[in-house]
Amino acid sequence: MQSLLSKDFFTLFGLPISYHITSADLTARFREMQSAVHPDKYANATSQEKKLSVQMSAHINEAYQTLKNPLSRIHYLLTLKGIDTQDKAASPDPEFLARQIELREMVAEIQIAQGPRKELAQLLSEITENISTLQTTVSKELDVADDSGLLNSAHKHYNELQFLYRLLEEVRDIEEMLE
Amino acid sequence: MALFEISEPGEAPSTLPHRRAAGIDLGTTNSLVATVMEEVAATIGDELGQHLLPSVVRYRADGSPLVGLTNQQFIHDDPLNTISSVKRFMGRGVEDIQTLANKFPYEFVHAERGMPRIKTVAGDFSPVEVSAEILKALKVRVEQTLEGPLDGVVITVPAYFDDAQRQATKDAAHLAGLKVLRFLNEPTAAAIAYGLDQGAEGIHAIYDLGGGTFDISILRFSKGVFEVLATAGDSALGGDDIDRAIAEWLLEQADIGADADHKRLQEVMYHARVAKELLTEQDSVELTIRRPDGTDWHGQMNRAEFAEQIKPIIHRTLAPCKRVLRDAGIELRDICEVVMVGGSTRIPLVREMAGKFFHCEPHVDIDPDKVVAIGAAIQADILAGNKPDNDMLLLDVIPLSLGIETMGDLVEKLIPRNTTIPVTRGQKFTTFKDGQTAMAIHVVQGERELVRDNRSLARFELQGIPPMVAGAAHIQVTFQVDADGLLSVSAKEQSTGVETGIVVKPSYGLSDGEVEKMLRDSLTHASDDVNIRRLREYQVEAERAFNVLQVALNENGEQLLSSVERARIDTALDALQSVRQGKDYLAIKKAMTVLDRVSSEFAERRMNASIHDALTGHKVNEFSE
Repeated sequence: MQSLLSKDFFTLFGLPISYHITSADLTARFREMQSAVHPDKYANATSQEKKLSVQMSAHINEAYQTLKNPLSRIHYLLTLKGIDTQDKAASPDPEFLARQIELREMVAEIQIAQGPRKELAQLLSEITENISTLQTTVSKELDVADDSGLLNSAHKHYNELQFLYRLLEEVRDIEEMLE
Repeated sequence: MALFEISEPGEAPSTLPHRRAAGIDLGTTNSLVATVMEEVAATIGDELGQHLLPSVVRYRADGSPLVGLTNQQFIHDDPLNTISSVKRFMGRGVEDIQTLANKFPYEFVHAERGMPRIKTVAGDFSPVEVSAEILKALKVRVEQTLEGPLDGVVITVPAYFDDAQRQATKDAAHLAGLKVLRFLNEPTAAAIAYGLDQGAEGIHAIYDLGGGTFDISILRFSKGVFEVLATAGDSALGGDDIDRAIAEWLLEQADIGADADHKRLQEVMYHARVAKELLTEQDSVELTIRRPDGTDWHGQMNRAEFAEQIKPIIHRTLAPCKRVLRDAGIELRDICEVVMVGGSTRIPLVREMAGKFFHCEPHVDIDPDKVVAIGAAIQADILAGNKPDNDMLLLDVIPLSLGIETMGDLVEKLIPRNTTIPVTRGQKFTTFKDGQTAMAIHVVQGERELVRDNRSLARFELQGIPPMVAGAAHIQVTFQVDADGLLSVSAKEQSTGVETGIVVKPSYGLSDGEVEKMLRDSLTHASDDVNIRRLREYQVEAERAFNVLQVALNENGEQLLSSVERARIDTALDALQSVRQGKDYLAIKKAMTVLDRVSSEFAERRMNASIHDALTGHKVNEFSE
């Protein structure tokens, strides 16, 4: 049991340690493992087994959620490679900062103007496009095993991604309010 | 597969005996019990063939409380002692009830903290105790049908119930003497009843509008796994509100002031309910209301007027519908089916509005009143172990975010809503004073940023922190939400490894001591005895533990245990065997604790083995396809 709990999440699911995992494989492994440990399968077991099953099932849920979501998967990969994401050392590109301000202004304008639908949709697609490009970049950086320069760059891009995901949520909030 | 199994006397069984299991739908307006007999799940009626048990309890000055159908009339005659819709008060505080209480005739005894009580001629009762009476009535009903005591039940709760409401339901089940196998969310139960696991794979929406609660859940079914993607709702919105809207209209029409006495208001509520029910079939309904001055008002209500009154209420269900889609990360077009659950979905306007929102014709094949109990019965049958070959898996979520209070009345979210359960989250705390040995953690549930805008669940007081200088103690607090959606908290000081004691002070619930006291109180009135009941509980539990371990040992004791380890477990089993039918509950308890301890390693190895099998092994039937 201890050995299972201490394995990294990729190894736990029998997957290679990489950004590029097949989501169908992940889901299939997740279901197989939950079928073996879920508390519903231990409703009649001894109290020891019940306790273990809740622990294991929660652990597998956490592992699955971490790997399923691209942003948390990147974060987890950075942590595995020894990068402390709390560390603010990775300073952002001036270019990205400028872009960040620009995007923020666009969001504010739409909010004030009670959001013309067309512009809102455009902004949404622009953000999602940016996210997808950045994810491709980060995934390549992470796949090169231990190049510290590339890892730092991946860390920086992760921070940018984090910003974009937050912005995406904000725009969706506005969209929801306008409906 | 062998149809029956012969085992020698004294020889351990290789499978567990058939268990008496039932599903209970503890509803706001009506409650039901269902069980699986000869492979078919069905609700159980009373001697008159009535399946719905009105969730109404009438307390009397002499004698035990009356539950159910015969009470409808007493709502008029004896409104102060006839408690209905008690589910709305479960896990709720004094201030919540004050806003609700204007609309209910009962007199509340206001406790300074915790759970309020309702004043009756038979004494003051908490909502938990009232609910326990309903559960006891259902228990009697199903035990008569099954001709013996229940081994376990599945009780359904609204998916949107918070932890306090779930804890209150758990306490009620405990008071009623029920062994709960699982608390199941109502929409999930409905999905099981519909056999969505038998049908097409895909994403389903379950729209559940009951007497007092509204739930909307998005479920994905794929390859034997039910996965709840997201759930949303309103735990205080339902048929009651519809009745009230109609009652207000009637009061206005009949020119009766809202300050009329309880009895009059209850009567108008009754007429409102009848009108609502008739209008699902008819286009208009004739009504007669007695005014306080003794004169009558005669009038009519047609469907259009009815629709106009209730539309705003039904419209309130649509905001959660929108939110749940976003939380689930899906689009409207991804949904292949909408299932209607709950008595209020009989109203044509409800079906119409829900169908329009989801762009599909709602499913109404199973009686919306019974569907939840039936699903619960199917799940109970599986969990009790009567279906060892069933490989259905249910993955549910926590409906509301859990967080802790931090500086400045702010909430730090620990577990976001719609996280799959079970889930654990750790959080580190430290002391801020030299020699500090205790601290309190305030846990809240909800989505808002300020503590006061969320629901306070409990204050956990950590005690027995080893005294150190300020900031030196590192206390790892683990928050765990189990598969029932219930929260528990444990804490450990990391440098010393000392487990800190935790005292839970529920904000609106009952402490363990209070539950114990209620149990004693209720039993002194009954012919039962608290000691006999406790002994019986231990005997049953011991038998269960004994059988379960026997089965496990037969399964893979050989492979997983050395002869020394096996001998240790056998000794503990023998010790339990020699006391488990005896009269000394402490001896049984002790023998079980020992057995638990010596078999814990075996439990771990078994789980490891089963995970290993899941990842590497394939079942025989996969190859025969």
